[in-house]
Amino acid sequence: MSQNDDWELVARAQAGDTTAFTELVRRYQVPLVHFCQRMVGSLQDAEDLAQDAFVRLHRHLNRLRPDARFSTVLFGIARNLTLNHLRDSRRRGRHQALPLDEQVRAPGGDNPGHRARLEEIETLLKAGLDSLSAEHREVLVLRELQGLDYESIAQVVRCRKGTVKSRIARAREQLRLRLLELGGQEL
Amino acid sequence: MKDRHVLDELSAYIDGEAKDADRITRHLQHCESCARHRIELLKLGAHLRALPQPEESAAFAARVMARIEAQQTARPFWQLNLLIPAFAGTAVLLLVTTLALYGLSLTASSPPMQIAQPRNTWVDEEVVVSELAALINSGADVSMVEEPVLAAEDPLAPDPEAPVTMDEMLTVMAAAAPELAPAEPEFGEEDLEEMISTLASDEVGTLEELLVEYMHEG
Ligand SMILES: [Zn+2]
Repeated sequence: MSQNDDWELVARAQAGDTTAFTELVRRYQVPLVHFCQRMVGSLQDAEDLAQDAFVRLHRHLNRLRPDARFSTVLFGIARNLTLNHLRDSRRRGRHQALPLDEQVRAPGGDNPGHRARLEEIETLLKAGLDSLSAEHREVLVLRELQGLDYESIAQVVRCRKGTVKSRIARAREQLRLRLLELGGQEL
Repeated sequence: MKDRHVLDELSAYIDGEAKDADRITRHLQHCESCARHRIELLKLGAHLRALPQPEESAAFAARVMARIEAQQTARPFWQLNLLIPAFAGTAVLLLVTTLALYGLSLTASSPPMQIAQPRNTWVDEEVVVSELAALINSGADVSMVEEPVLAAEDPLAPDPEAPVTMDEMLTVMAAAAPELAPAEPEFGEEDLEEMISTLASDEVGTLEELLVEYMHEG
């Protein structure tokens, strides 16, 4: 999907074409929900947050100008919502990570099956991501899962490109070490 | 040091964002430990990208569009009291406290004058109401200096046990701002609307957003 296409859809949506906006939602729902999911953990919460992001995008539709990549605008909104969500959950004491033993042992265990192995890796990665600070997790997720370049990530998280670079490096290193700690040597 | 290790640069290198990519490439050809580290980072990325993605569902887009439609057909937020009586007092209270507590500036005359300092402690609503009324009476262009964040810790956030009613709130406002109240016995919805119409449209937008958000949270 090209950026031009996105902005074309935005222009049509601005003119009141709801099918154009629906198309934008359709295009970005999976990456956006995925981003939110990796940020907040729960798929259910992630879907709510991604919906919020689209609703908010629509509310500001007429203010949007094609001077940035559309995806950075959208992820920027979602990013703010996920950070608010994390902050609020922490405040309410709701975001309590599972004890690590439980997280890591849950699926798989000694099961030698391939599927179980994948699940084990997934659980390890989730626990590892969860152990990162939000500011490290967000840049890593935007880079690895959304494939954004450093410039775009800098726009989403509103910091300098050099900061993105060092944060991603640090996030990778922390995650790598955390996975080793959690027993993922042969990842 | 011409050929130092490149561990610190490998992250940017694998992302295609390293400044000195040629030198790193050359180094990797003969340094086993850096080369091994690069492979580890690549594997880490591959594992992350292999995390299962959520599934696409038509229901998702439908829900988004339904929410958007619901908002568009909603009445202006200061009229919500007719639709949601229990929310009415809260709406006014939020409007008033938001304006007053997050720092108001008066731009009618230059230089901009700070009317109400942002407060650390929450004040009683009568003071807030009278400050707001004074501002509006002076013909001020009321603009918010700080981005308001209505957080859960807001002690004035409505207690679900004891909602402030519209009547209570209007009584407080009328008492604090008799100039705003019409000769008729009650300070009514139209006056409130007029009061709000003195705000710049983007401020109203911000308030509306806050209220909509608040409603979703509540
Ligand atoms: Zn080396």
